[in-house]
Amino acid sequence: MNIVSRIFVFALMLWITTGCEWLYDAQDFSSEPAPIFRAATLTDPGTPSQPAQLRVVAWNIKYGAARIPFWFDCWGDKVQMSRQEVEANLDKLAALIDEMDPDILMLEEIEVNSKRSAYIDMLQVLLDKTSMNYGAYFESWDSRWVAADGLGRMNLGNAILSRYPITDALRIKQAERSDQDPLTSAFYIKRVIGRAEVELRGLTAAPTERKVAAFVVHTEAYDNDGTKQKQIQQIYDEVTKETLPYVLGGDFNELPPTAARKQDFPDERQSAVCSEDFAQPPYTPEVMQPFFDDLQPWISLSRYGTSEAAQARWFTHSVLGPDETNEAGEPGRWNRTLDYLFASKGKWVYESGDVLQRAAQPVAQRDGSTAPLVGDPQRLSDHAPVFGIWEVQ
Amino acid sequence: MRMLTLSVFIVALSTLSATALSAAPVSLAADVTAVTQPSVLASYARDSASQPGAGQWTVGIFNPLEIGITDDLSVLTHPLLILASPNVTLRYHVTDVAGFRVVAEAGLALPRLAMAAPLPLGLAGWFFPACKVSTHEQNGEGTCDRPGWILVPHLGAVASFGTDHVTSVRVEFAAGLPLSGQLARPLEHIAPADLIFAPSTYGWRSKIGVRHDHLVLPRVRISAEANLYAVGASEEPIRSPWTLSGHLGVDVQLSAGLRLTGGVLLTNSDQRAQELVYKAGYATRKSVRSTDFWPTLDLIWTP
Repeated sequence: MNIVSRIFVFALMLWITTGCEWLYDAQDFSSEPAPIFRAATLTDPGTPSQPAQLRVVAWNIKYGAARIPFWFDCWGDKVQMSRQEVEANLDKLAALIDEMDPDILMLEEIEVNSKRSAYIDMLQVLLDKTSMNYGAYFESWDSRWVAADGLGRMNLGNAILSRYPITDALRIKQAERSDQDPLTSAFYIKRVIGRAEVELRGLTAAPTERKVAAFVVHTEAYDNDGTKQKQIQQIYDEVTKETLPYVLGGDFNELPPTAARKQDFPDERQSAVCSEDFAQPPYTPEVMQPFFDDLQPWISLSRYGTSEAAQARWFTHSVLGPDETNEAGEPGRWNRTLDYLFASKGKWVYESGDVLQRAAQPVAQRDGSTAPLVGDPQRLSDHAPVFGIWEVQ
Repeated sequence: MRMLTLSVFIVALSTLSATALSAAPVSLAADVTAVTQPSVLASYARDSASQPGAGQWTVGIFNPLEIGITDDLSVLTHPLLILASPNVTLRYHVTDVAGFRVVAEAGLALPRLAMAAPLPLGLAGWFFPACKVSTHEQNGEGTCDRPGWILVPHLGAVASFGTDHVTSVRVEFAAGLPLSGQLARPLEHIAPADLIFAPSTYGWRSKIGVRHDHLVLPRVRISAEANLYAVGASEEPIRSPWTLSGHLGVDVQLSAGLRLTGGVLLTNSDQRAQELVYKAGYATRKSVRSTDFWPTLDLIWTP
């Protein structure tokens, strides 16, 4: 073998041993630190009063797809968005976030480097375009490629954004589905609980022990083996051992325990078109009862009501938007509650808890007044943001 | 068990991918057995300017079928892909110059079904959209990114020097010409597959490569190969169009007409990977290239 051949072989061997990226994140951990990002320009919120009134929002933003009909929803075939589409949707999301003006914002279905959302780092975009200063990212689906309809690279997760410094962030693994074949399971979304510690101080103030914890969750939607119920129980177990005052928010993919309608939602297809992989399994609302019993919900069950008409005011989800129709020709409307806010110590400011369902809806301001929403949540995601003002020492 | 399943899947995919670029023997590890004396099969280098003699032929499971029309003209196709991507290539011995045998190649492929049909014929529903709702409603094409009919012509040339120890240089270019509809969305992952479909997704693909094939035993050859690919511009955000690849392989003659080939293919490309960089406790994202290795395996029959 001549010298050229030797160099060639050596270079190839070196190549083999360096730079390989795993095909997917197998999440071989029980919990691990999560990365914290910050906005390009920080805006000092000042140190909050004592007790603090923290404006809290949880919102599933559907990876910036707004009402674009994606293939797994079974009302369209879209698989990928253009950069322009994602940027336009993110601009509207950012504007509505600033209208809600949260101190702590929990986001579900945010993407940072996914093919379907044009590889845009949504967390950094939202940090840079809103008054939020810090963001912890909790990756739940990291695959180099997902061989489903050309989905390709995927990096989706949940995030906690804060105007105040985030000093610690933890990603806690949730139970995995056991009803999938090994290959599907390997590349399928994994669920995690995100926990962040937020220091209640202005950006120029000295570090303090005055901290709260925030949890963001997004449980499984399509399992038929009880995975979601296990995950919800795990969330309960995890938050109830928290020592700091905490707020919990997210998309539980589960109805409230007193939900009037539990099946036959108007945004479900009547005809079989898509894969059974994305069929809605029966809800089990009773698993949410401990959260209402032992924590402080942003909307109490008495306020939630008992009839479907009364509960409609608090619905947070619809696959179809108002500009789309189901097979009966009815336009999409919010039709079930899946998103929640719960707190431990402290209290929700009286009747501050809300679901921001549509444009022109009044939203509480920091000075105690209200102002109508300019943005239209119905057209920005398949979930509505849930909002509350949490008073905590 | 999970990794075993995944491994089997990857071996099958990468071997097919690595030997099936477009419709020509232009692949990363493509095998074109030059056979004039089957009893000494192993002394002939694959993927070179050699051709089957008139009336002779060779075929592999993943490697193409090449039939000698004359001593200077051969026709080639991938039987495994003939339905999903009808393809044909002509190879013509142009000249011999300074000890090099020079062969020109020209071919066509029509990979429509490979992208628009479901398994087992095509990859719709896996690497390309299945468009179930549009198919059901017959009016939803607005949300369906189904690729159109795309004709893929390609041109190339290969020059080889030597007999027992063969060094080859190859250049080629393939383009995707939409006959209807639009180009398909780029895969941007699994570099071999990304390159196979590149003319139909990025609009074009070019390659320059060098390969050395060495007879080490009467029935054993080893080979090393390096290639540089370029493809058309991606959608925003722009990714690097360059892919580097290398292949180490071994051919073992099992019988007079049967050859077992195996090897490892390495690719280095921009697959949109990122890594976190920390500064003062805060993270930022940085783009990095992806380096992968892929096993290749085939049986080639030359009666």
